[in-house]
Amino acid sequence: MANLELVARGVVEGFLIGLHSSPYRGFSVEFAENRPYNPGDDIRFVDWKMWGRSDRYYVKQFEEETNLRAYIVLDVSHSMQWVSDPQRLVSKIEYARMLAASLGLLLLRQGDAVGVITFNDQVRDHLRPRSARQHWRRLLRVVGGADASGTTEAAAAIRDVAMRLQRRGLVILISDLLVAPELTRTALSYLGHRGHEVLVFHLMDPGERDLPSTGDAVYFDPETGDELLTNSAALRRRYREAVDQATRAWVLDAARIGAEYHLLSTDAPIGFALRSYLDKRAHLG
Amino acid sequence: MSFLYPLALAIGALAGIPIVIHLLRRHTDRRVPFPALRYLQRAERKHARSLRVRDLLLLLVRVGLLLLIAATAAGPLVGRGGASDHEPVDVAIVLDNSASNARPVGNQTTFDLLRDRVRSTLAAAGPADRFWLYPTVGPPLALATTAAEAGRALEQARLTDGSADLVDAVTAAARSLPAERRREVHLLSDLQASNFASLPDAGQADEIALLVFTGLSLDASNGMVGMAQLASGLNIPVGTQSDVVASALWFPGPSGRAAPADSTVLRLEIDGTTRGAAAVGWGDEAVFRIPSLDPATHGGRFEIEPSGLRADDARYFSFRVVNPPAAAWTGPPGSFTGIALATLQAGGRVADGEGGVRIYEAGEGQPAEPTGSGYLTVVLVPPADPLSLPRFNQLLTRIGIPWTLFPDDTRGELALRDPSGVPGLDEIRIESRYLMTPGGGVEDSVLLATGDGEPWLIRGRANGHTYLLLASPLVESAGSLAGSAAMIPFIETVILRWGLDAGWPASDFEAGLSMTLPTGSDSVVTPGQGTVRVDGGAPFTPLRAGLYGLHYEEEGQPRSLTFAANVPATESDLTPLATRDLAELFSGREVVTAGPEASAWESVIYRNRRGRDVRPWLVVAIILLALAEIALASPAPLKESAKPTREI
Repeated sequence: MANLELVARGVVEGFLIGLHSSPYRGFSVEFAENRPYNPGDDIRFVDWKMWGRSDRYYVKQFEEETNLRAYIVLDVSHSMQWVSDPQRLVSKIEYARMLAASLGLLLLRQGDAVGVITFNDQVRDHLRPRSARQHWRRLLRVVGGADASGTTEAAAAIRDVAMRLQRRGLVILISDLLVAPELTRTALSYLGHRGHEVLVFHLMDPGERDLPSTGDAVYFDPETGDELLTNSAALRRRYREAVDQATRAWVLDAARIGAEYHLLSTDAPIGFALRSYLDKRAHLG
Repeated sequence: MSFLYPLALAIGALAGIPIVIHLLRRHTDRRVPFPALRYLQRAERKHARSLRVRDLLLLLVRVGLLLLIAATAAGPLVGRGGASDHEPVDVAIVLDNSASNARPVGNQTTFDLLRDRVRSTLAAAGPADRFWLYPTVGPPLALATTAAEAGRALEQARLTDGSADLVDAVTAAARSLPAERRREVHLLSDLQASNFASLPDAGQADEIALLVFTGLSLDASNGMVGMAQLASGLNIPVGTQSDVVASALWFPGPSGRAAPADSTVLRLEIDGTTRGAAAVGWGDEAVFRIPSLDPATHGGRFEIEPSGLRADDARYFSFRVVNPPAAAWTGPPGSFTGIALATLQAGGRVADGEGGVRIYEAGEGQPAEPTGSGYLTVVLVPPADPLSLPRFNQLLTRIGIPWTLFPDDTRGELALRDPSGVPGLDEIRIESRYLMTPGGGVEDSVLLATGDGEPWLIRGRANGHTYLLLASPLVESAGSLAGSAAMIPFIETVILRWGLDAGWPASDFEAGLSMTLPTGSDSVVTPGQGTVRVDGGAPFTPLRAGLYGLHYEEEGQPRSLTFAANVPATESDLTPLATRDLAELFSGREVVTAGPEASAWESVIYRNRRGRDVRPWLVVAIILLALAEIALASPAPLKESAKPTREI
């Protein structure tokens, strides 16, 4: 976990320059300004003093203590453990841990609240969003202790997030998306309907993108146990086409529900992923 | 189809390996965890059919590859191979370099064409082949050598003016091949019919094939100079003149082609100087007078206009101008023989004296045997009276002559057969003669015979002397000779040509035939002005027609003489042998003819062919299949698809 912290800190330091405070404004203890009352505003926040002085209705606005509530939804299923070249690459779960830790730190540095949900076929760990700086330590413990195991059921985890996020916020899904695609898309769509911003990081090992030539072998899915006897050399080009087709489908679905999709290769620097997040964050204003 | 190394076919069993692997693949123990199996399954479902086809193709390619490797290692030989694809063979090449092969064909001669065929034969030879190269004239050029060495020897082969005996040459060539492997005899010749004069040896039947290059379609018409004949033989007395006779002959060939003109110009050179010329009709003779020359050997040359074979358009001869030989006569007074001798002595053609030729004419009152201070040659004329014949026979016995004369009851006139160029002798009729019977072991030569074949003039050696024995007395009652104009030339011929030791050379030579040089010989100057060192008594073969100079030593003194060699008359008849006659002539042997194209010849030589070696093609096929295997088995290159995703 110490390594994870060091790596995450190193990654994040370079991305904090010039960031503005949270654009979200709500009702909190610190007064910000008054504005004219509009029908539908909560009458509890009518500034009666101003009414007394000016005979006009004003509503008090406060600087919100926590501007953005974000959930990092981390896939810790067995498939995340796989790595094609252990000498050169990290596994998807390791990469996901570093990415989650970095994002968490980045969010907290901006004053946002961040929480974590890890899942495989069910929600494994849940850490409520907090904006306190020391919250990152808790986040590291959750993320760092997440071992990859079990099958994947992303839809349930996403629905769980939707239930927990009362206000609109940001959901960051980090997964290899070796999931039931329809259910997952439906769940992500539900998040979108609820007004949440959705950011999907699709992790892919280079060996999953371009099939290694290992010749004749029985290939099996460690999660489901499904098997296939084939020759990877013969299928290499067609496999690549299938992968491209799948990722293309994810892109189209993400666009349809207003989510943002990024395909992340585990040999790419994590900083690139943070840049994607920052772009998204800037877009949010 | 056959194989060089059939055992290598066992490698073909390896072809089962890919099949086994293909079948065992279904039972592979190799398990690879792969979370993205869904994509793999999707790809396989979509392309299952093409994958099966690819697997099958790969299997076929691998099996084919191994089978091809096995086949290549075994060295397959398919069909009938080219000339170079044959089993090791011993080849005897009979190359006709006789005079008739000097005929021009374009810018070459027939000999050049034949030599080209030999070159193509050698070019197609294998490393284990052995070659014997026999020119028909001259010594063998190669014996059991490689093709390369035979090729070098071939370049030493030269055209000659000799004559070939092709039957003898083929038979000898076949016999020279050891019976340890396959054998062939190649005959490359213009197939001149006159060169097949010998009868094939009865023992020629063997398995050796005779391959004959045929088809040289050449004009066989030819003109030649007939034999030059000196009237007085090779010895001409100094200070006298002599005649030489030559003729022009035309061979029309099988097509019956006429000569380009009715006559040709016959020209005579002696010692390089033109001595006469005459227009001579084909088949006619011309007589030229040889002028008085110094005592020495001289060379002459007759020449006609070029026709057909060039080598026989000239004919060479040599003769000696000698001091008149001494001759003495013993006989009845008034004998025509004595008168003829006295006439010759008066004319300076014969000297009167002892020690040379002694003519002994038997008769009443004559001494019992030849007298005088000695002689080299005795000419014995039988008595006119048959009653004196026993005494004459006793004389013959005494001086060692193994002949006995008997009276002959034959009545009528007899002509002399082949009177050997003695002027007028062919007109002579013999009315009386004795029959001559030889003793045992007689090898004397018959110089003249009557028309019925009985010897009439005999020459031999006895007790260190040469003798000439006549069958008729030289009297008018015995025939027309004694009183005729032929009597004096006859006596002159008896003394000068037959009576004296002819010396060396006794006659002109034929090119291509070996001769024995006289003792003391040192060197020979050839017609091409080359000098060949020789040993006296050693054989020498003049290969070209022309005049040769011989340097020799006699009684410690260096001397020289001239001798002539001519194209054998048989070479002048260029009529070719019919191909069908070849098979008949060599009926005990397989005869294969081919020509005139080089390809036809190359298709028949090296009878025992192994088939065409197809290994180079198989290697190409192996390379192609290997490339196909690599292409099928290698991972397909990935095409970068248009990126639909934001990939980081």
